[in-house]
Amino acid sequence: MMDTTARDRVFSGLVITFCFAVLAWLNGRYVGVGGGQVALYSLLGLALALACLAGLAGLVLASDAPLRREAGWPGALDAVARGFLILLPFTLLALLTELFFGWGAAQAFTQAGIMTSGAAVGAEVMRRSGQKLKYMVAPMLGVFTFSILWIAFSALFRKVAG
Amino acid sequence: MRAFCLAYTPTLIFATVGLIFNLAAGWNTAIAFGVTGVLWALLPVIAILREMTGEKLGASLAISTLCGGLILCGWALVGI
Repeated sequence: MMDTTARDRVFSGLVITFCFAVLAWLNGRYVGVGGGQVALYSLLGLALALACLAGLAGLVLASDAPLRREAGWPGALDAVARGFLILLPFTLLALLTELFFGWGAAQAFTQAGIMTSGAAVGAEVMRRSGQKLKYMVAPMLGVFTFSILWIAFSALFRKVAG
Repeated sequence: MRAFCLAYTPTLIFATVGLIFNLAAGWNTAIAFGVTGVLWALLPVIAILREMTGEKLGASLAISTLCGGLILCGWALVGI
């Protein structure tokens, strides 16, 4: 039997995976041509997102001594997972605007979602580590890099597949 | 109520900058600036809702999605 924390972690992980899969698919419709390219972009985008989240958890852990001492790797993963749950409204609104209004703004939703979730991760880390603003810096730098990597990946995919 | 309205400050800033670029440079800024502004308001709205719902993240996410959806639907109705 899983305890509540482990169950929450699995649930958060599934929600975040769903969000990035949907956002990657919505972006892929503009970057790739044909179903095969869209599927490939979605898979690679999802893998990139999950790798960046793991990297972000590592960065949070490395930069935050109290968190490292008291909660360790599971605590850092929890902070990242709770912060990135904020991605859910962005994903649902992106679906609404893409499928019903056809605004072509999936990239704006993805970028704003990643940066906002990073701020939420920072707030979560601050809450766990004594409300010091310095613990906000590493998560924000991490998601800024994540955001740039996503844009670079999209541009590269378009160039290679185009 | 005041906190909820103040949460939409990013939307006001993005919309004002978008309006300036639209009038001065003729750019089509309704989605690029407008939607981004609405999205940047989501985090403060979620934070306020977490306070109001006693730290219930699920309820906060559901209500903030509804709020954002209503604004975007209204936007779509008035003409983007």
